[in-house]
Amino acid sequence: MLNQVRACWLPPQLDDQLKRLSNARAPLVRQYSRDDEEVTVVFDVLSPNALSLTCSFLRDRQERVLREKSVYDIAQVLDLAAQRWLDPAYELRRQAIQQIALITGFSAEMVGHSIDLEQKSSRYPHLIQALSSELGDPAYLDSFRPNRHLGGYSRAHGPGLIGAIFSSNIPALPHLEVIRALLVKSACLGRVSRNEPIFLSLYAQTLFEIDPEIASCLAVTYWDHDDQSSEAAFFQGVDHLVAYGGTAQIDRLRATKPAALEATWHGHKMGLAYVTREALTQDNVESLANKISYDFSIFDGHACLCPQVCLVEKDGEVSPMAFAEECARQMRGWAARLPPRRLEVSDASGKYHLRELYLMRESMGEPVRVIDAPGDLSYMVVWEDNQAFAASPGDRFLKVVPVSDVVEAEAYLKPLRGYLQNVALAVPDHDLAVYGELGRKFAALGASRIVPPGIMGTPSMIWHHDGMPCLGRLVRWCDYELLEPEALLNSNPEALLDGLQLGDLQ
Amino acid sequence: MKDEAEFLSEKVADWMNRADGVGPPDSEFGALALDIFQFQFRAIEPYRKLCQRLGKTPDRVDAWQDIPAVSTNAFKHFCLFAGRPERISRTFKSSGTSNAAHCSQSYFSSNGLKLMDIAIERNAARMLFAEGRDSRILALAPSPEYAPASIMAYGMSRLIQKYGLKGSGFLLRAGGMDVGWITAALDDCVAQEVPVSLIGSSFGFVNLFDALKDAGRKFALAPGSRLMHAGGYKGRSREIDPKEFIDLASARLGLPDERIINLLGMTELASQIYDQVSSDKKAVEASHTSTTTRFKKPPPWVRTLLIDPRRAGLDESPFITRANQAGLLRHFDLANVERPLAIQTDDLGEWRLAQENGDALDGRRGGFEVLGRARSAEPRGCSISLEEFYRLQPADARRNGKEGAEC
Repeated sequence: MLNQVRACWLPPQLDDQLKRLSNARAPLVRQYSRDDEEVTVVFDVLSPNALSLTCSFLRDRQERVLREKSVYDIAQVLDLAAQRWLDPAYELRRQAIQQIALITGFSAEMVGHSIDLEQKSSRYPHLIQALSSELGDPAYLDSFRPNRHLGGYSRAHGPGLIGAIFSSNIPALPHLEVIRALLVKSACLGRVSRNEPIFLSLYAQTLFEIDPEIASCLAVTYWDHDDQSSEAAFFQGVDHLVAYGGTAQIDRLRATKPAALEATWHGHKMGLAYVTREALTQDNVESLANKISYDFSIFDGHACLCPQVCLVEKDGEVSPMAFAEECARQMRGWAARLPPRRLEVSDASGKYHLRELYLMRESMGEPVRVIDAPGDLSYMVVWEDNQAFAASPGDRFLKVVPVSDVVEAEAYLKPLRGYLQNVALAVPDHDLAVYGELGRKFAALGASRIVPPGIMGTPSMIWHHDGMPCLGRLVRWCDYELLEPEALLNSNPEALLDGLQLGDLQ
Repeated sequence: MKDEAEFLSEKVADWMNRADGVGPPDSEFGALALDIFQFQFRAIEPYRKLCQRLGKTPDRVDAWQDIPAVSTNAFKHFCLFAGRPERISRTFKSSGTSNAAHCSQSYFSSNGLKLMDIAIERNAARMLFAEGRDSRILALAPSPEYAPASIMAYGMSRLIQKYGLKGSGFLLRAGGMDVGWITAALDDCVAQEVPVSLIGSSFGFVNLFDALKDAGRKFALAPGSRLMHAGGYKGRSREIDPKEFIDLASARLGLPDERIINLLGMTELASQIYDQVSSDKKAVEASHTSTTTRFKKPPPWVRTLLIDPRRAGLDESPFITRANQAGLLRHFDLANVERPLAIQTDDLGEWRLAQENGDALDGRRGGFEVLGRARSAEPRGCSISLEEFYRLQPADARRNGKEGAEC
């Protein structure tokens, strides 16, 4: 196996330019070890001057390359990249799985599965649909296009350069921001997380294999989060900041970024699962428990979209306790199919103490049952009656809480306000009335995505991530109005618009 | 008539008074530990229930190492006291947590306090005042009057009463640290050539060193002076590593590094564990760090084991026996007659001093080093950690229906 890998990626032309700059970069070497395996990661840390040069370079490439390309051609390249990453034999994918598993502790199976989940939703139709959903028509990015709502033409421009700061909790996620940037024809400068620094550089190599021109609009770098001068040069050089991270990280970035720099924040979020009594029958308890258990297993519970708790309505055909017991069987199955991450002693400590405490609470007659908690700490299923909400410690901790109805659930979930993101909702098939009522409640609590159980981990490219139009908010519009607003009040505006004979403005 | 707790406490006290060096052999420790376990199984209900749930009842436990350990977490939720609640004369609470409703509570009867006093005094006699020379003890901590729930303040007041020369006392008042007053107290010791024992919290000392630096003050404390610190930083001062602490203390107070020692104390334990500082050549070579080597050396009535939590629930042995391999500290404290004697902490530690075959010298012959608290790695990215979530909640949402444990 390769025991030394590079965490950063720079286009070759930029590499040449940086060689002419003195003290442009310093290699930072980090060792990652787990059990008996070890990997050395070399980070290319750029000096503030070099970062500024990188920003200018990327802007220049954006003007020469992306601005001249059709958004459909760009989407084709991204689609080819997704196809390569979905191929189990693809060399970079194999490298990524091996190295990310070693660095993050996630099992190789989980890393591979994450890559599949991420890339499956990054195909050409998804990219075009996402643009259509948020911009109306992707072609607005290529030229002034007729806009019948307006009675004229519109055109959308992405920023010259998007700067992205990544986190490490979902393996193989960072390419999402690169895709978003390239789709709006922006160059992208990414700063990887030290806890998962590998994926983005490998993805950049794929783009380079497919289209070196497009790849030249992307750079992947790293600096320590307390390196203020590098961060300042980064802020100075980019037009829009996209940042992932914990509350402390996001608060710090909010405070230090220039006020005028626009930003998209992806901070702490939480998910939950809700099972209605009508959806839980003897016939489907096994398949429903399987799907819910899958939602609790993916990313080992460390992603924002992972559920923290499973609320189950009482008085149905199957009790919440019996459902929890079935979940335990299913969690065991998922632990075998998608093994959990290898825990460090310090991570295992939290799980060990939690397990002990639950055992003690149960034996003391509290309304708690430890349904299954294997000694290897691979997962844990508990049933807990109507206690105050507590965030899950992650690592496949499935807590079933019985509730009388959604009103009780709302009270229970109150502390999540501001953090709620994904909800897996089990309702009887096609019962739109129930779906609608519960959907309204969870949307009011702040949810930004509601799905049936089993697909929490596969958000579509079209999803308004954290409730935002993540492509739409990046672009600046220019509208070419040919009519006075009063004209649209005309008795037959359609005829008027037809009369304008809006054609493409090249 | 003596009850069982008193009877066992007397046995332990007698044992402590006889103990010296590495103490009596394992078998003797084990016999007493198992007697106490039998008593605690009967007398502490949550503990009994846990043992039953784990299938580790006294009839199935025949080695002290197998006595079920209670997670420090449990002290936040349950009353773990062997006796009727009206016998509780003192309650200590853990500090430093961001969530007051989730602090550990440790209960003592007057009899239990007496046993702890003996543990504190005997331990200090062998580890802190081994040369038998009395000193003026100045505690950089609030007195028990100001901090009645602090087990550290209690322990320091015992040391002052037992070993302190005239002029000993607490240096912190309700208003916090008065640097002028502290420097005046130290100036007086220097002028009178009285050895000083400065004892206190680690974060208090760091703040003091910073203040002394700002004031441009240094002291040359009289020979025989020492510094003992405990309790970590808890976000109340900047965090520094042990080596830097020693360097700062040497620079500001003129103490040689073997006179600067750390103490591991916990609200859940009646005994404390001191640094053993050695300039033994072989040990120093093994430590690769400085001219002295130091590790935590439990007193003879305490045994410490290191466990790997990833193996603790399985059939295989969870104990770590190799040197320099991280595990969680599990203490067995005979002075905990009224509270579970086997305590599972979330402190990360490693054995120091390997034998030639690579196995570590255990706590009786060698010692361990504390590496810090095990906490799940920083919350990663957009998911949230339990700890962080609690910090973000308003105080009333934090209470899990309870204000800690009630007896």
